[in-house]
Amino acid sequence: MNIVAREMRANLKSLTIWCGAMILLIGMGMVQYPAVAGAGQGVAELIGQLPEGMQGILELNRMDVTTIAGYYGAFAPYFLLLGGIYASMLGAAIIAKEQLDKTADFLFVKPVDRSRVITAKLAAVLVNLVVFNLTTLLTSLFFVARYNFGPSISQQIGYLMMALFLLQVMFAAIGVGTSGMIKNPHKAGPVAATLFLAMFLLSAAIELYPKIDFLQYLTPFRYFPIAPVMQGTFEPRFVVLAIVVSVVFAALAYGAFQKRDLLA
Amino acid sequence: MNICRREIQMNLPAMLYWTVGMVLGLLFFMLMFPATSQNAAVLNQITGQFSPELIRALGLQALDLSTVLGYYSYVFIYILLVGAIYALKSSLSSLSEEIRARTADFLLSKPVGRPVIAAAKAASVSTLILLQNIIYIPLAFIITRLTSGQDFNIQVFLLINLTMLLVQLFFLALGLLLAVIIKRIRNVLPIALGTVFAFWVVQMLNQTLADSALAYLTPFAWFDLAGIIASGGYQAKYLFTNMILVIAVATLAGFIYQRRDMPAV
Repeated sequence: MNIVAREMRANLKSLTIWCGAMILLIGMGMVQYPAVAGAGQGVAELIGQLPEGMQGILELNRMDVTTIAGYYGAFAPYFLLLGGIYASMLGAAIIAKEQLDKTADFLFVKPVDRSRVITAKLAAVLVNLVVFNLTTLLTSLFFVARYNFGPSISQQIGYLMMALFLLQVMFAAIGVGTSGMIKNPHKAGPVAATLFLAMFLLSAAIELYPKIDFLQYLTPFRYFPIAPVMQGTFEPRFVVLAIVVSVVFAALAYGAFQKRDLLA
Repeated sequence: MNICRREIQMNLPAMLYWTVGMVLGLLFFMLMFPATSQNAAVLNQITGQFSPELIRALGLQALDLSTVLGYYSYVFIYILLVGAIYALKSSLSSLSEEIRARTADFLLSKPVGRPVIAAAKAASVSTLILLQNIIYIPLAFIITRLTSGQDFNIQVFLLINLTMLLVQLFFLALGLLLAVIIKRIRNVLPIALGTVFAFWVVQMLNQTLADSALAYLTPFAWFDLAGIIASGGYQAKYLFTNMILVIAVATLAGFIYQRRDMPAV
């Protein structure tokens, strides 16, 4: 318990900055909504004027940014992006930093065995992510409510936050897992960052060229497509995959740190 | 001079590693060009009838993905992102390294003034970034030429690629400033990734909203690639914004570094 509290305090500053960034992003985005909503006809109407064959293609994966749900949904990829960076960096550093700061011998000579230390640190990561998500959720609800004069979209926002949380847990687990597998603590962050960037670029490539979508299992950014998720449709295989990956990588971290030779 | 040389030596492998990543990323994207350009040509016929408002509302591209340069620009934005992260990370790490590694008192007690040290470090990162561009651009040209099998306007191609150097210079200066104003930097990457992606997200907002005031806020908006392809040049107001900010931010960082309290071991 002490370790969790201590980790919370140590990570409070970065958590505050990240939450602040999310509030700023959501606020900045939503403030612009009235201008977009007021601009001309609704997209649905414009699409309605097109030949039928085309309507289908366009409506499938595009969102109408003149409605509040579509507008909010257009930001969602950036929440996922920023949330993902935060989670993977947090995960990569949480255990490796003891070695970096040369405090590993201090911590691990305490009468607490290693697996409990790791459990406490993972718990701290989870609490941080929950706070991050709650902040994003509440800020979203607040700003959306301010500019929404139509039906409430709180439920859609809720579904999106579930996707965000799953994704963050997964990225954090990948971060912790890689920091366990990489012996050199200086390399833990860079490797996690490389993985993150590679996944991000891969998801961009799949978007550009859908024929390679068999690779989508490799990039968490493709697990929860925004439009269906906001309607509450999660693909079971991706939810399962996200949970399995999280558990496997967390287990890897336990295994690796249990045996690691911590040089004093 | 010694400091600069040592910094370059130390950071050369990391630079090569990032550059290889950028080139491989580009290769991966460009291999998809032949297939994508055909789809894009079909899509162009459809979207050609749309009004500009509809195109914006649907989030469709201003870039024409059926042409080599249009497709390259679309892909280049991601390469630019990686390059920007590299620039910010390098300068942030270079100037804060001594405090993290607890070698600040060792370096600062040498008979070299702080301005010289700061300048040497900034020069070393600039050199590395310049080298990175010198390696990247010819390789990018070869890759683009071979995967597309088409001729394209080399001058415009160069203009597109040089925006990376300009954007990188901004992030280099910003990295120096962050290095001197953040009290204790434990880990460089979260700051680098967070900052660059924050600017990137502002650019994505800017694209959706097409707000010209927002465009000044993010270096990714300064060089509109679709505009460069159309006009064959940069927009002067953003080019000046870029240069002035680079000089101002770097100078400010230098002043703060001069008076900064350096923790000894």
